[in-house]
Amino acid sequence: MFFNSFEFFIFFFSVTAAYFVLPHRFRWVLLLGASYYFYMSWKAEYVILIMTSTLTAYLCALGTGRTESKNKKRCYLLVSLIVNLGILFTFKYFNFVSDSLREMLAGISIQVNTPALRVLLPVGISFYTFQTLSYTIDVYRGKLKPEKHPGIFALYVSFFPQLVAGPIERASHLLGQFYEEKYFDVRRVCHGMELVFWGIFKKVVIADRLAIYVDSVYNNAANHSGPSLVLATYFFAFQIYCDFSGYSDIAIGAAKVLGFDLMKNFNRPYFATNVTEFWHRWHISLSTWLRDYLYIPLGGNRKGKSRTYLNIIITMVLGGIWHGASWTFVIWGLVHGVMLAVSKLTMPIRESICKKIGLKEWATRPLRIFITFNLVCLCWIFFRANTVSDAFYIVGHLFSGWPNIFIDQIAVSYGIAAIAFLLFAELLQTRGDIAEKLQQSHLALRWGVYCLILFSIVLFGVTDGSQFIYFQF
Amino acid sequence: MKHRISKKDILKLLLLAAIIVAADRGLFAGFSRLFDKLETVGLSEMVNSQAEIVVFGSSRACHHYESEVIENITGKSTYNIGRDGLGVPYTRGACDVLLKSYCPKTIVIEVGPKSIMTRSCGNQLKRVSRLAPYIDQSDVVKEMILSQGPQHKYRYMSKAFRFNGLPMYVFYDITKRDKFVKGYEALDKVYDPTYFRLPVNAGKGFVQSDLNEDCVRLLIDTIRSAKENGAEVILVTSPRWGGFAGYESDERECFAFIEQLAKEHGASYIAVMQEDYPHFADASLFADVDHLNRQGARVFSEIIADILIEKTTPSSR
Repeated sequence: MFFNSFEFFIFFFSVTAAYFVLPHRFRWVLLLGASYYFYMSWKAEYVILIMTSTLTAYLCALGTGRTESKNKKRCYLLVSLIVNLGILFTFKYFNFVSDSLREMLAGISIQVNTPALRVLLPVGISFYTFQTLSYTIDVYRGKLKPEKHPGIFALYVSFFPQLVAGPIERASHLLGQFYEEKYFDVRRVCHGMELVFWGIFKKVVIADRLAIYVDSVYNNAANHSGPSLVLATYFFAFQIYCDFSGYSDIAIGAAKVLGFDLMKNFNRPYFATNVTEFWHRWHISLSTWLRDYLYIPLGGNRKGKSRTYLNIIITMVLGGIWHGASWTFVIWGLVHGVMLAVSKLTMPIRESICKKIGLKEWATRPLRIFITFNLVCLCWIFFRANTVSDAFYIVGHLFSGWPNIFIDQIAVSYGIAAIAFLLFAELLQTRGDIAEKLQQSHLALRWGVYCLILFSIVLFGVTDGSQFIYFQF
Repeated sequence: MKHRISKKDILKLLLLAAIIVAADRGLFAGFSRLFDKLETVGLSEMVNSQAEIVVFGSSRACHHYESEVIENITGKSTYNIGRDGLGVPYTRGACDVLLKSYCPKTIVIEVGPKSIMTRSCGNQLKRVSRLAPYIDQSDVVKEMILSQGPQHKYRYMSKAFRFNGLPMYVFYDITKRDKFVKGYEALDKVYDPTYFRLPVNAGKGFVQSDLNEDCVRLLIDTIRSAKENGAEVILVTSPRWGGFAGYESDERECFAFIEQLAKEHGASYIAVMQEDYPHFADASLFADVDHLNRQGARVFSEIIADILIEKTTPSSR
């Protein structure tokens, strides 16, 4: 059941109606049942995995809360980490490690048949695993009291708006909200639905249309010249942004309709002026998770400069692997890590040069945005390419074959117009929250905007039910 | 704090719903008119032409059958409704829409292995959505579109949804309009045969289980309905460069299947092949492996026009 499918809308409106009709004490049961139904609509058997993950984290946290012994606490944490990461490894990384090992051995002329598991990747496994991990670690650190209600905790892990592609919520932010009684508030529901439709708009009107050109070039990279590869890469940058942020908007909007606040996951990332800032704006729930549960425990910036850079690179490589079991994601993470380290290393030099020349911050801002965007795009090549060799082929041919360009006139013109519209909307956002302003604007204007978005989806939307890219992570 | 929903809110919601329905109907009315004015997209120009010979098919129809050449030789008005990427399912739907308006004397359907084999037919059914503006006029179009998933019947509750993608079609029409002459679009490239590579499956022979049953059924339905309406139906396989480069024998078996199918349903079949038409051993007549260029299309259209005269003259039947 995809967020951009008709089935989801029927499901969502039925759940919402029932939710507000039911007395508060029964609502968690409805939401939990709905969340498990939502998850099982992909592959019913995999509900066992999310249940195991939930139960382990729940029991380990309870155990941690009940004991004063540090060793026992550590044991509970370890059990939770082993079970949760074990499930994640088995279903997501086992075949990748096995294949890589076989290829490595083959490289030194040792032929070994490494085992392979015939399993499908469970949808959203990386998201809910990280969510349960953060909970167990927070309880272990004493930052959070263990949740005693197993149903509410299970709901925290499986809450359907953010179950399959985030945002990766922290227990400290979401758990408490399940205890609060929610009322049907028209303003809030309208705001939520605005976000839902804006998310669908970004997904089907922008991302899926851009995908037509991107796929035709990236799936046949060797037949395309530099300009086509460059254009397809720029298009992909916006495709993945609209695809993923579109999903996040739908998730946040759907939760808002029900009365819940999920964390912001994107903040106009392509307006970042350096790579560090990009990661403060892109997939915020993941980047803050990596910071709090990986980078800081590794030592963060507390153990000297060279260790800081190493910690950044390790964190980003693991962040890359989190996205998928493929060398393309490893390289993607590695390149981002190196860029972050270089950015941190050269920051004082760049600042002093600007100071000496007398350049104001605002004067260099457009250039810095442009450079950052292009560096990020360069990394997207590794993220999108079908294989590592394809990625290096593309990187190596970005400047070849100019000015021959493969132009699918309609797809390219439409893509450029869609990106221009998106950037315009994002620029407006810098002057204040558009949704907030829309809520305060005249009814006619508000409804005009609703109709515009709705009929753009009807007239421009790609309606073949393509799935969200981040579902596969 | 309690649930905050007032009568005013409910009235507002109903009013918004009414506005959306009205806008939907308004957009539908406006787009219907606009759609009728498009020359390269949709079927209005074909229907308005009242042509005696109508050519159906995909890009190989669109770029191979020069309507004016056929018209000059046969003396019968001709229109080419073949379009890039649109195969047998589109032909079935478009033909049904046409027959609801009038029945041409001769219907030519460009058909070949690619039209009816499994792998290449799957997506073609999705592309029938190009005929969505005719969903209320043709039960055939409606059935094909709605058969693609249960959600479709809800989507088409919106009248404007029939024109999903229309803004792109308008752009296409503006940029391509001058290139189409009575539905025919010439290709001006010249093929370089040094790039030719045999397909991976070349030499494996024709396997009947590879046939796409849906496409074969739709092709038969098209022939049947055209015949019932009194049209002469001629299936044609136009030349391919690949067909003359070593794997013609594979295709011959498929041609025999099509010929048998045509025979069973009262249609004629012509495969324009190298041994009968050696002109097409010349790569300069091709734009790529699958398509003739302007010069090749002219040669082919002259040949096909002569065949049409022969096939449609009463004494020859």
